[in-house]
Amino acid sequence: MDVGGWGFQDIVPMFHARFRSWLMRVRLGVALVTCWAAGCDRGSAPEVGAAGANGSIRVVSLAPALTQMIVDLGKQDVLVGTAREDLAAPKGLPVVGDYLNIDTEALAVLQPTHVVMMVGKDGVPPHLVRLADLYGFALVAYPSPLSIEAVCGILSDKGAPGEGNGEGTPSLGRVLGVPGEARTLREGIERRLAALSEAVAGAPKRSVLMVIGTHPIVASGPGTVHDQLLNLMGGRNAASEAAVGAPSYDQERLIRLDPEVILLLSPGAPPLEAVGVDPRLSDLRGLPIRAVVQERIVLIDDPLVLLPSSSLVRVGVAMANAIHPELADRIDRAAALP
Amino acid sequence: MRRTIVILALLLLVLLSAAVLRLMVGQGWGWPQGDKAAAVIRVRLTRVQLAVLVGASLASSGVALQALLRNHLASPFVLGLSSGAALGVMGQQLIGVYLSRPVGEGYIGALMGALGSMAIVYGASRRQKTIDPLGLLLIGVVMDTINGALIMLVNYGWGSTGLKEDIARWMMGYLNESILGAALGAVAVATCVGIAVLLVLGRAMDVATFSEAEAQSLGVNLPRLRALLFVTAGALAAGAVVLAGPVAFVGLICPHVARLLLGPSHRVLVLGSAMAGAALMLLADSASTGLDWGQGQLPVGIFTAIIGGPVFVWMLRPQLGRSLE
Repeated sequence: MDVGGWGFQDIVPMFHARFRSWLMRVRLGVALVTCWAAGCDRGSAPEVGAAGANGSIRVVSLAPALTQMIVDLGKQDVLVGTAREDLAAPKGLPVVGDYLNIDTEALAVLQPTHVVMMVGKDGVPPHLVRLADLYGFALVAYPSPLSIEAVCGILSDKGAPGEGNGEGTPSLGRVLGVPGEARTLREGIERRLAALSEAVAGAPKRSVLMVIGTHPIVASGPGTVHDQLLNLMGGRNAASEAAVGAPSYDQERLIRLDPEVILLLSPGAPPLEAVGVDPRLSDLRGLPIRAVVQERIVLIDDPLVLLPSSSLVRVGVAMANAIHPELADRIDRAAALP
Repeated sequence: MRRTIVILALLLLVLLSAAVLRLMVGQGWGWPQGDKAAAVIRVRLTRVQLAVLVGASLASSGVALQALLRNHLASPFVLGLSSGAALGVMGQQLIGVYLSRPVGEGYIGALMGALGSMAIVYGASRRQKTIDPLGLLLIGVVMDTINGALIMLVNYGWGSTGLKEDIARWMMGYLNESILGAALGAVAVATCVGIAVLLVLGRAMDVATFSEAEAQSLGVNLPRLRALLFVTAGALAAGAVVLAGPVAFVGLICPHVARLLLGPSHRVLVLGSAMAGAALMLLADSASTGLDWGQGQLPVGIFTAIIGGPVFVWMLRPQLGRSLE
């Protein structure tokens, strides 16, 4: 192939030379940073639950679900920073990025005593562990909850306060120094979810697709908190056979699933229009599926709808009303429990 | 001539077979059955149309670019046209958000983005009225990277879900089956017109492969030809991006396959490439639909790269090392 006198053998050495030069600069930079870090004694991370010098704690939350729990526990005054796009956070708090892309400088300025976060299978990112050592804050990392029990376990200890939540990490209530309040909140959530489940118990289980993304259609799959919540609220997850937590669906797959109800879980979204008009529903346009034909597509626009947090009861009420509108009175009575 | 007709007929046969294969592949193998069979067939037919249009557009755009730049490694993806068009789509969407009203399917933005990127690459690689082939490729790669970065920047700056929710999937290329019929029709017309223009320009493109002096002595108006090829290649790439996002390799390998089979004459090359491109997209879409690991649909661009990449390396092997001899 003629490429005008140039061949791959000309390109490769040039790239190699530039790459080596670039690599050398990066190594030099890393070496300088390492030397600087080694030379600085910023102290080591305190024990989890330890307070700052004046006895107060300063918490940075890297998970909106945890922020919501902190707010629901009435401890928003300890929050000094949050993650990007944290809809649960009180307005005006400084943002420090998120747990994968942390803004080191912003975090250092806040001088937190605790950084609370939720982590996936890979655990706590090593750079955060290094930052905790460097700046002397405690890292409190909870595995991303996959069940309602796990959500409640983050909030409060399973047994008596102080017994731990079985994950090796102290509950949020204990970290914040309010184990009693956390236990009350947890029991309230469990009691109201049980009452909601009881309210819809006799109704037929309807096939429901919980849509969390629209281009293409992405649903909440099995093994998630929302999957469990949907089952409690008298629904059956249409995406239950998926192999992943957030499967995507083309139109043919949607026709096969044929859900009776579609719940669009979209925090703070504007109201839905008709399927033929609303661009968010364009993938559903003209499909012969029950939810579309019977116009049973419901938007749940609660800002916290996607969070595995203490807001689950609110989301559960919205789900139950969307799936079983004929049981609205019973659902509202159950939701009104203290 | 007879050989050419036979090969074109074979390519058409491959294309039709790929279309039939795609119609048979879905959630399970075979022709749809049951009360919803008609709806399923309609969905599959839409995807066949999308795949054919995207494949034909990208492949014929590749032929036009390779003739325009006299460089067989030119393609809409490599030169940043596809990512430029994608940036244009994002830009148009952003304008829609600011105006708080729908601004269409993105074809205008895609066209502007593709032509803008192409103009920068073309202009930056020109020195003393000649195009440096290596410089062109490198600037194209850089342009592609810049466009990709700008797309991510625009998306990143737009809330937690971004301007486009699943940007990574879109950037890998996936067929937008929810596109409105009118938009699909518009892209179909643009693709047909683009291919027709290339067929008309076929002879001139043949002559343009000679030196500039030779081409002009044979009566080819090179500036006009370049302008036409420039706009046509951009429009074809833009149409493909509107339908499927940026899809790799189709615009690069299909012209090569067609050239190997049909020779350098551009008229048959455009036809052969368009058919090969459509067939490749249909095969890739069959794979992305048929391989169901429970995760839902896969981006079609994964399979154009998996199918196209090894084919390209296999084609390239005999050429490698020639300049060392």
